[in-house]
Amino acid sequence: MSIIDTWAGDKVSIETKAVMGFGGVTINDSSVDVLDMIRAYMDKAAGESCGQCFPCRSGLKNIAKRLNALCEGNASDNNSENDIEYLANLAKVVMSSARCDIGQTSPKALLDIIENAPNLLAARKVTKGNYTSLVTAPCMNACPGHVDIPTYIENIRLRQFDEGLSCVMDKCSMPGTIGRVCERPCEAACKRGQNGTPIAIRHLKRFLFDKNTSPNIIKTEVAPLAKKQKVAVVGAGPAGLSCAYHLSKQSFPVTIFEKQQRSGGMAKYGIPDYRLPAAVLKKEVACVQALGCEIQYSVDVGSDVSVQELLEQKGYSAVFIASGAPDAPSMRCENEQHCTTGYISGIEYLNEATRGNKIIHGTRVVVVGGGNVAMDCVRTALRHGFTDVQIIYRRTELEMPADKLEIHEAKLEGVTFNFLLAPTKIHHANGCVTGISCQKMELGEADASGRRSPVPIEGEIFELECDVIIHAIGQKVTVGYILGGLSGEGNAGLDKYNNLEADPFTGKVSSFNNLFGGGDCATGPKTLIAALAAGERAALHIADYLEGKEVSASKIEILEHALESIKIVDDVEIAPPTDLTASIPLHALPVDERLYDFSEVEQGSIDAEACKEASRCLRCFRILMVAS
Amino acid sequence: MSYMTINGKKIEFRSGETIVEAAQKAGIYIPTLCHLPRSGHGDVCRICSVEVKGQDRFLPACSTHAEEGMCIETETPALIALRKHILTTILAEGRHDCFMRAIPNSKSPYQIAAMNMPHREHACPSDGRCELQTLVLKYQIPVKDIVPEEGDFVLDNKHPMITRDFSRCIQCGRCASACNAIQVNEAIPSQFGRRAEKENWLPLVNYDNCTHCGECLQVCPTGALSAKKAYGLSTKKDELIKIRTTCPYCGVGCQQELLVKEGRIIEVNGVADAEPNLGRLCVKGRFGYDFIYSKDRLTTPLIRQEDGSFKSASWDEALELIATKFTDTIEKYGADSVAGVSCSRSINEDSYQMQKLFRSIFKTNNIDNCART
Repeated sequence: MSIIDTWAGDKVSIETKAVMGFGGVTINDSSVDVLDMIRAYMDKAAGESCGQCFPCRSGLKNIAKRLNALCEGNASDNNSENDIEYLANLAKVVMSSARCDIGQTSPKALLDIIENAPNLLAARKVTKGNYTSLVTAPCMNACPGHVDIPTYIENIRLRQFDEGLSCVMDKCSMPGTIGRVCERPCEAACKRGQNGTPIAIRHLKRFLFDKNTSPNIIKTEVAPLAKKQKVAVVGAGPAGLSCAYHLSKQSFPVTIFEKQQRSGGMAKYGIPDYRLPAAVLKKEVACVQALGCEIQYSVDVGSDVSVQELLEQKGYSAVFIASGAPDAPSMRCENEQHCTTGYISGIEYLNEATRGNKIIHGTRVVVVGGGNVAMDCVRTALRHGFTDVQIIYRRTELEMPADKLEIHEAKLEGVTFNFLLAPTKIHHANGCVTGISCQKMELGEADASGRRSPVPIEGEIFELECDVIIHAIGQKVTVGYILGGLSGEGNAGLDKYNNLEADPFTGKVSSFNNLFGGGDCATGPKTLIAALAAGERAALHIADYLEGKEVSASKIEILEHALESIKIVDDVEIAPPTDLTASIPLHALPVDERLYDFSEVEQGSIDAEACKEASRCLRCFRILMVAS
Repeated sequence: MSYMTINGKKIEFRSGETIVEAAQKAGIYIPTLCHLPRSGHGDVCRICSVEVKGQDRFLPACSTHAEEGMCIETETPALIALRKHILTTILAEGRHDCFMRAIPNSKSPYQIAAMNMPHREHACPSDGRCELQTLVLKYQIPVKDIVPEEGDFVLDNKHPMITRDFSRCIQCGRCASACNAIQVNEAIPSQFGRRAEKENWLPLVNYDNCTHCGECLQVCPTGALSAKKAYGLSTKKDELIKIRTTCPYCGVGCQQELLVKEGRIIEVNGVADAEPNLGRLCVKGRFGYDFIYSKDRLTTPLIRQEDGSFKSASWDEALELIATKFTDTIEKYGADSVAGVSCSRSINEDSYQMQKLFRSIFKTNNIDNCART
């Protein structure tokens, strides 16, 4: 039974003595000193205030000051009621007139206490408790990496471009890549989107990266390699690079072992240059190397050297496995095994294409799938000179997992989309593909993912002639051979899907102390930003392990995780006033200039455009504090 | 045209205008303090907050766009209370010790010394035209009851032309915005950011980037930033004459507004809505006017005598002599033996006349202007 419970909206699903925050107050345990906790909460809020709007800047400061006095036992005129009236008035002023949600939401907790239990605020000497606080926002909450989005957007508005970039790089070591190809869950959560266009968060991140023209974007002075214990990272993809970056920043010597000849993993070999130019990745990798990290190419951990050797003979104290999901599952349709020419996976096709090779020939290509890989395949095929490029997808455009912008661009460039078709049979002559038969589908009941699953319409078959079929229907993890002898008998370290069994918070692989992992190899194919986040989190816990501390999820991580599942912007909140500032114009290469080569399609913005876009941000910060 | 209602009055506005802009055109006053229209800076002080029907909180009129059918109130009791609250807090945070308010020991030795200099009448360089003072008077803040907060205030007096007295700074951010967005010198870093990191931050200047243009002076709403030359000289509106003129320094032709008292320039500012400078001035245009009062300044033409000394002459005499010499030279050596260089401090029209004189009367193309480089 709660002592006070005024929380409005979704509750934070976490076992705790007390919660204070944007939704109100929940006190579950009488041992919590409400006066001390609200003091800590308002102190935190005053520290988060950006100092711009006067009511919030001075109001929160004065509230915190008065609460601190009460906690010392000093009521003004020896009468706490005067103080409470003063606090209530100030809180109302701040909430009604503050510029952003720090001022508009944080005094709610104080007002709720004043309304429900003013006696708890009587002046007295308090003993200070232990509290964990978290500052988040809808966009930050939606981002797997919890990048502090409103802060760097504010930096752009105030033309503090270097500060903005370093704010991004605190959490995300690949701002240029993420700024171009992220799936941007943040933009879907943006409150501006309720009543207009969301802030172009991804594009602004790219702007910050492009704006920085210095050869080495890392400015912070770190003592490279000051620490003794070495860490090996398997795979120089996003998760591996991110882990190496964050470990190097803490002065641990890191060696990355990469099977391929270049760094970047799927970002390098899975994303074509017209979306992500090679120079961007190169600059980001140089940044990791500048911190002292070594990268060894053409080393296949698992066959050239085993993890066991790394740990026992080569002197590495810990290994982080980030081998990704580099294989393609089969399409499971008739005649798949008989085709030697003209039938390949999207991953293989893109892999060769990013190396400058064109491994398929003809004029007509059919791509099976509806994700971003499928979009990359069709757009690459157009640039390879295919004139008839078709997509086959078993649901409709609404259910397509690919980025809406990618679908739009693919259509512009001349791709034909065929929906509600599932491939059943490949036609071939002498081992060469000649066509494909598809079963027509219709949408049935919603499945576990919430999408309506396709059901075949009996007897309706659709045939398509083509020279090449590319299947882009997913990716497969192949991490087992990397663990090799370590697993002993059975599948220690692997879960039931044969993915790496790594702790989602710490990255620690079950049943090993010094083995960590993250990214696609642990989760199955996920987003780039999720891989970066996994690498960053694991780096913190690897450092904990090397320093002899306990490896377990921190309070803030648990809190962040608990928040991820709830909507932190209330539906009943009044939508922001219509925004008449035009959203940022996105410049792209004209369609008729695109298809001759792999030049980048999306172009950057100038300062004025970015600053204007940044000024649209509502700064929907939310502050949460729990007692432990 | 779209329409909205302010204080019960239907007014029209163009799409894209802010509430303040629309209200101004309709003759409705909404107070502002931090707003700097030229740089898009605003949304800080919240003095301009208005009530908009359907919103659960006040919206800043300076940065909220007007919308069709909006219903706005600008002077409700709640808004007046908010403005009073904000003004009171500002006064308590600093040392705003103008005539309304005597704070014991608030004047720094610098202020006392400045007051004792000749012609100095006021402790605050902005007394009489301070935007904060105007609002405090308008909203009748009971200033005597305000207990000043404790605090140390920096005085940056090293600059030869500008004094930065942070006891009068209200942290509106106008100077930073003027420096970064209008002049784009990026010498004054913005003070905004998490208070936990930037609590005691003041708009101190990075003098490596500073071009001493004084734009920050012009936009400061209070007496925090002031021109040393004008410190304590009367700045009361009714004692000053405003004279608009063209800057004589180069060929750009910036529009200046001179504040003149008893025939003496007290301050020079840019004219906000005039081409080509739109309010901006450079260091010369803003601060370089002392020469007009120089004792060495020539007031009549001088003609050099045989023995090398000068004799003062009338304009007729001098021009007559110049004309004779030019005519003689041209007759003797041809038109291309003479050349003219028009002074860069002459205005465009004068330079035009100068080239006309050389091309059509003297018949030579030897004419230039030193502002050309």
